[in-house]
Amino acid sequence: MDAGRWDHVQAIFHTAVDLPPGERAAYVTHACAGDADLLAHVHTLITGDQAGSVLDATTADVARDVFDGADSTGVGERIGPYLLTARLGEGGSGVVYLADRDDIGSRVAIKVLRDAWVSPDRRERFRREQRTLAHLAHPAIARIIDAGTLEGGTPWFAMEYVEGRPLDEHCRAEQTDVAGRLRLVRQICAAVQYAHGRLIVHRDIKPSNILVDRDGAPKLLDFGIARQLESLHALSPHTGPLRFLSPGYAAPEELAGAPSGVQTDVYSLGVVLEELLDADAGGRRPHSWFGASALGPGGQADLAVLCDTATHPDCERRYATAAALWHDLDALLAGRPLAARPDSAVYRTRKFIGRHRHAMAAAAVAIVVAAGSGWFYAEGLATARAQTQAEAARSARLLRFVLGVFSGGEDGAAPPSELRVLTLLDRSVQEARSLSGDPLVQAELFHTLGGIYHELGTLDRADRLLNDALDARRTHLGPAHSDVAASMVALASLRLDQSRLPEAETLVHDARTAAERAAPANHPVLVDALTVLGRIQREKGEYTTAAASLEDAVRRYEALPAAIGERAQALAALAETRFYMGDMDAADAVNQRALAVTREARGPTHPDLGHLLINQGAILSSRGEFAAAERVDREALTIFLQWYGEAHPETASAQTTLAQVLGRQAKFEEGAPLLRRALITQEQTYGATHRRTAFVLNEIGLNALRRNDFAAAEVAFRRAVAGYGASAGTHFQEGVVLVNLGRLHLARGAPDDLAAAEQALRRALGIYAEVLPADHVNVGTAKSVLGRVLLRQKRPAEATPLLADALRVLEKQPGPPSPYLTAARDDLAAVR
Amino acid sequence: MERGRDALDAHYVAAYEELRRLASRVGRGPADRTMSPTVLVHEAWLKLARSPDFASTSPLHFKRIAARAMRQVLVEAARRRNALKRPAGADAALVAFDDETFGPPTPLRVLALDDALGELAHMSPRQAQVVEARFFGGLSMSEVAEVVGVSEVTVLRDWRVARAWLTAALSRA
Repeated sequence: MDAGRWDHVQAIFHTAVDLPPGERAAYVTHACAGDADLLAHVHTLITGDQAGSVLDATTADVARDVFDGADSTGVGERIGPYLLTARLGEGGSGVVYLADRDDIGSRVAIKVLRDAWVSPDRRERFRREQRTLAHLAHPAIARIIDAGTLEGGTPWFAMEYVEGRPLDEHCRAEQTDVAGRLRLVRQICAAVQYAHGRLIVHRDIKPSNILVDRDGAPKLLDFGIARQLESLHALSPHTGPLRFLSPGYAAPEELAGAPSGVQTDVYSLGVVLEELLDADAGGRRPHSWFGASALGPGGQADLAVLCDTATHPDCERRYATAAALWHDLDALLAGRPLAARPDSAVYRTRKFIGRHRHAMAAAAVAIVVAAGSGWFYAEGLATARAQTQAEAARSARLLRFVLGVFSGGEDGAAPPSELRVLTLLDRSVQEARSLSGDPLVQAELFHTLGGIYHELGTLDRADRLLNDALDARRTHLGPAHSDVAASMVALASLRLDQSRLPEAETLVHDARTAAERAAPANHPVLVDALTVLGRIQREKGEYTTAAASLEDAVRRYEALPAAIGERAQALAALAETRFYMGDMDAADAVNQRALAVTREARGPTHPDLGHLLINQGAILSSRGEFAAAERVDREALTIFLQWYGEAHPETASAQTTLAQVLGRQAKFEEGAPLLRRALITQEQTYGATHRRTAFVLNEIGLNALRRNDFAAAEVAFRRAVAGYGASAGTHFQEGVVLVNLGRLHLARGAPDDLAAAEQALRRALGIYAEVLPADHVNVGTAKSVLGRVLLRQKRPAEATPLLADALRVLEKQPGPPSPYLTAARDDLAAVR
Repeated sequence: MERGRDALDAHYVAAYEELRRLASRVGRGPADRTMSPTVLVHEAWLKLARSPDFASTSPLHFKRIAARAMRQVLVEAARRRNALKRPAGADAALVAFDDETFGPPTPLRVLALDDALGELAHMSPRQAQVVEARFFGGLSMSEVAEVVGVSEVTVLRDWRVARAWLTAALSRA
């Protein structure tokens, strides 16, 4: 039938079917006007219209019917040495059978790809799952045993058969208590973390993929849509991963199509946990959670925080790793405080990422750009293209990995000595080293990673990476380029912290030369160079030139709004310089500016702010404004407590500073508990004989001395002396403690005490002679005290020259006369 | 029908996975159903729409391409299914439509429909497209109207006449 004829048939059909059935025949006969063929066509249509039809079936029914029983394998058939005995279930891509291997009597689960004919891509994905499993050997992950391909190309693999029930069913049937449920999830967290450590994300964690065996051990199954992290960034839209996620368990960002990763699995673990807790209560959390009351009120609240953190829609506020969730489950089970408190790890991690975000973003852009341009360049050359693809995939994987390190839960905020951070960083470096195909991308990564090592205090690694970055950039960009300059500035800053000042200076000079030839005069790298120069000058004691450099840098940063963080740091360095110069008014003014800019750049809770507040306290104390100093020191302590927690050396240091300023106001009772807490922290952090522990002990001794608790003071001072004595090098602080010990014995005044005082003070003077100039205030103080001790011992002839020296030194000191000056003057007058 | 498999492979796989999922979720009779097939099909479309494989296509183009891919998958599956089992009408379990008590199994009818649809496309490409989108794609009439680019009234008329013609053609086969 041609189209014209068909139009005609249709027209008659439509009119006919709109008529009441009784009138149709007459109309059709009339309309066809004797054309028998036309009449037959119309009749056929009307019959078809009234008959039932396959076309009335829904697509779902059709799909069921055409797929039903379409599998080429089934129960009773053989695959390799295995006999399929039962159908266990079906997943997204395959059917799983229970199978026996008669020859060795073992029992396995066999997964067969269903409808292998559909496409090569599906066969490849199935084999990828097989390879993924082959990489995983963990007690809580069902392991792969065998694999092969059927006739006709259908792949299969055999896994460990887990005879058990899905997690939720198990908990229901066994009436597992809340602690038991938490422990089960904890074990799955460990398995997921293990997979993540091998750069594999599961992406489909849900109760039905977790079986609990007869011994109560959970096993994670079905890595069917798992991904090697390297392929998460779909570099070409046509090779992107297909997502068939279980919506209830998929993280919001994944449903929105964002790249899925580690945190997506964490989210799913959180949902599994919540469902396990909800399962029997059927109610909403927190109060109606299954058995949650067994945890006590604090435990219930913690459980709510834990679940909220695990399932937070914003992945930056979620647990960053499965390990972080795992550790908090442990903490909850042990009744310890959670890391997922707003003042703790997760929060700190966010801040840490914040601090590094600039560098991270730079590296990310560099990688993407480099990968893209490499692709473009190599197009048309089949081999080169394949290499470029591999390289680009590696770049993406590496980037993902580096970012993963720094969103890595407690890792990111852990102290620099934390092994895991460094291990992960080291792995990033290895990855970066494999990117030899694109030396500039590699250099960018070396630069970034070097900066991070520097910040974490691992200076030797930073050194190597920054040097490699500089070499590569010099080779490929020539000597005059802003990136070359940036590498030199980074290296100069490192040299400064290594106390290799001449090298640092040369590098800054070279950096400026390189940048001036290649970049505009207002290029940020020139200002960075100036800041480092200022810090070098300050380190050399050239305070006037240092202040000028830093002031200049601050002015230039003001024209670069994006460099607000750098400006805040330059201001802080400038304020310290003014403080060292003794220019308290200028130090005060600059420090106030630094505080304002840091608040703006870093927010009100950043530890940089805490350090500036401590400096502000020092400025105020030096002017005798102790009450004001106490206020800012308390503010600083609050920040450190929130940021680092109670048991952190920075917190301990702020507690000690606050105790000092309290002491200046005779509030000794208030200071004592702060010092005790600080001592515990420093002992735990540095050991009993470290000089930082000794520093706190000295303050404890002074505090006790002022409360006339001589016994406690003596114990503290003697431990402090021992601490300094055991640490390497000679510290003038040891002299300070010895002078304090001398003052203690003098205050007691017994003959034995006076002898002990003399001994301590002479040792102090011996130390000072080694490390301090003869006219240093501390020398004057020690001589003043020793003079008085000798006078008490009726040895005026020996006392007189010491007192005269003390007077001469102390009179030269700026500020109001110290009590030691007054004492020396009075004692000298008494002798004469 | 020769399909451009290379270009469409990814679309094809995505359509396959969704149809497979659909097939496993739909029960044998009304009593088995927790959700209506219409809702299930709608969900399948939502997932397909999110699939990265269709990311580069416009929403309109996407539905057209996906419906075509679904047809190809169902027809190919029917062909395989048919080759696997004897194509006799004896296996009553395969006759699944509630309004049918007798007839060839669905896979055979799908194959016949595919052929007849090719014939219909010669007479009216638009009507063939309507059937493809409606029957194989499971789209609603208003969605079909959007895909084909005509009014819903026209789609309803096209569907009715195409259904009548195809049903008659299948009963002849």
